[in-house]
Amino acid sequence: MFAVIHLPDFSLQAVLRHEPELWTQSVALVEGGTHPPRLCARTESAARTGVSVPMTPTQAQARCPDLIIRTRSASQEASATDALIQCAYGFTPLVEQTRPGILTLDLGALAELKGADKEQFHVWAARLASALTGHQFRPRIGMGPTPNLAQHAAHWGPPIQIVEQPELFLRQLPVAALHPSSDVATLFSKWGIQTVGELLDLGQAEVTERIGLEAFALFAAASPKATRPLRWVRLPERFEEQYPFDPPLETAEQLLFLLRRWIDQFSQRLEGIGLVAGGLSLRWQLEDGTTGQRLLPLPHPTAQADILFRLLQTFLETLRTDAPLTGVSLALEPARPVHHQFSLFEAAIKDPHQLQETLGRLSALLGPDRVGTPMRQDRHHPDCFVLTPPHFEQAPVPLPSNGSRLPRPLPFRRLRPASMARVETGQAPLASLPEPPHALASPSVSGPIRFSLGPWRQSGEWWENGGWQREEWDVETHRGITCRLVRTAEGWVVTGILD
Amino acid sequence: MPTAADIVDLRRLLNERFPQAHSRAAASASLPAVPTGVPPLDALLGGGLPRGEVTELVGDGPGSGTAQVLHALIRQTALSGQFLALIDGADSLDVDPIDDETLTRLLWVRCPSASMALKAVDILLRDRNFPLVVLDLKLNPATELRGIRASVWPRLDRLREHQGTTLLVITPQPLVSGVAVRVRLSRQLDLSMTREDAGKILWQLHFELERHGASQASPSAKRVA
Repeated sequence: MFAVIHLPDFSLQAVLRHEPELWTQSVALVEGGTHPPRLCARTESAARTGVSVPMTPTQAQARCPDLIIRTRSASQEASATDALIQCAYGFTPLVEQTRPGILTLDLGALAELKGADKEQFHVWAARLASALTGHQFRPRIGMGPTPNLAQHAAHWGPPIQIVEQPELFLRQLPVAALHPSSDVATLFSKWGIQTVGELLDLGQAEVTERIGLEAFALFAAASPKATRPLRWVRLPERFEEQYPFDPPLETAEQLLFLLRRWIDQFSQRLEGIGLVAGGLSLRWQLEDGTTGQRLLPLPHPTAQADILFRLLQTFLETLRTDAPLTGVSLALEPARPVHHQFSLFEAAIKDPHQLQETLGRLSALLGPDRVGTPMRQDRHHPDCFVLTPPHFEQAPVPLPSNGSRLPRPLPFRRLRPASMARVETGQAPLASLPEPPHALASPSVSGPIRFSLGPWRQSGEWWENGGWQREEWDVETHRGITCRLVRTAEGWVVTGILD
Repeated sequence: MPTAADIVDLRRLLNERFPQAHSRAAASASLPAVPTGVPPLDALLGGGLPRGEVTELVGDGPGSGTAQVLHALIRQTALSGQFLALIDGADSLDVDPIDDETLTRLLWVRCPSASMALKAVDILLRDRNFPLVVLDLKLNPATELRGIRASVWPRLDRLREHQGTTLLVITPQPLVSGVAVRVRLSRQLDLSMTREDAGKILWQLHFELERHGASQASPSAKRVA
């Protein structure tokens, strides 16, 4: 048994997938490569007003002033083809891309349809149609014992048609289903031949005598046993959608609506073929000609639409552009589902996606360099670190100290930025010793210094523009506040307070 | 001016009228505690911070020792194989004394002000990945802290309660209304202690328990120095 998915006016469907509300309006599709440009497809509403192919847009708008014009897009047709094949793969792995917008499916290996009756075939076809409708397609589905019969069933008759009696079905088809040449079609029309049955009743010999060798092809196509080998298409693992905005987009609401629709479709496509998303890539074009891109990795691959959309939404809350958007594209990186065995005795992150979202929201609130896990830099300068994204799954558990470790220094409370200070130094007991600070004035700590310890001199990176040098003192003021004073080439600063 | 007898009668009346509000405190008393790594503090609280509750650590003035407690808690959390989220209201965490392995289990949120810190803790308390969250407001100016509305704390408590998170708030003065546990630190660390081991200093900190919603703390451990 074979099934054919036929998307009439595929180029129009590829464009209106992103604007399904326009199907009820008068819309025409313009072929961009011709001069003058001509229509290549239109909606039924436009056809009722007199718009037809291949009018020019001017002619069409003269007949329908409310006509909405869209341009045919090869990239959108490619995305639509990927979506179509991925959806079909969710039902059977034997898929042929017969023509743009037409897929032929081999159902012979499906266990669920072995020995099925017409009702069961119809249920299966309805499920397929429903899945395709969820991707904003308008499919017609035909099923038959041969690919040709299935294709005829998809083209002619109701939206879902199962061929049970091939000979009877073929006889009632219009003769145009056999795709005769225009001359032969005109001849058939003059003879009054309207159906395939009427043509078959003439007899192949007589028809051949009159129209020539083309009769062989027509009668072969009219045979209920005519079949052909199918060429399977590989499952495309490309998930990408793009859309131009005309007029340019200035607010985020419409963009979020479009992105949500794409994410829902991606999620269905992924689940249908057993894949998940490893990350998202968002690209945008602005009216001033500039472009932007952002990669959004996922901590754990997933196909859940809510998680994918929240990732986008959190990023878009922080995005500011200098000009309106003229286009956007969203690509998804497919991945295999990951199965992770958690350790029994260590804590694990319960919800990595929620953590990712939390980190995104914190970064949006405070800035990307204010949230993370501190990682010390390989420098000798104190308080040198960078904030990195946390990787708690790989975080080691420190071993308890066995008593042989070095004494731990007392932590201070850092002042960031360090507080500038004016320090008066006293007289050193010996001329060779440094002069200790004896009074301090800064926004954070002020007053006479009662005790001081130091100095501890540090320096480093002498190979880079002279490097750095600093002199540290730990001092206690008369009020009992202990703080850390540092003298550099630029002067004195208070870097921390003991607490 | 209400007398002590009036207050006792009022509490008994509230207990009779609204028993479920008091059962929450009793239930929390049966939960295990979160060890802080500070032995005198853990002894005072009956094992550590009450799990799933809010604890306020008030440090009177500079040198009271709240930074020592914070670092001990960070280290103890890492040793337990857990994660800790620190919302640093004044970006004052001293990273140098913390070893690299311990740092990998810390999420540090560096805030420029108390108001941003409260927004950050609101976000973090909605995340169920962090059973322990510390909000450090010790170095935030008094003007910022006076601007915190009293309604903030009950709202954060509801968020925290929903996830069962243990929240420690470090403040320079009593700030958190309706807190289950409040501990005051009053010892002033001096210059001579900077040459000692940080672990030994913990035993010299001076803790005073001001309020405890559960009765797990031993009666004699009200004040530990």
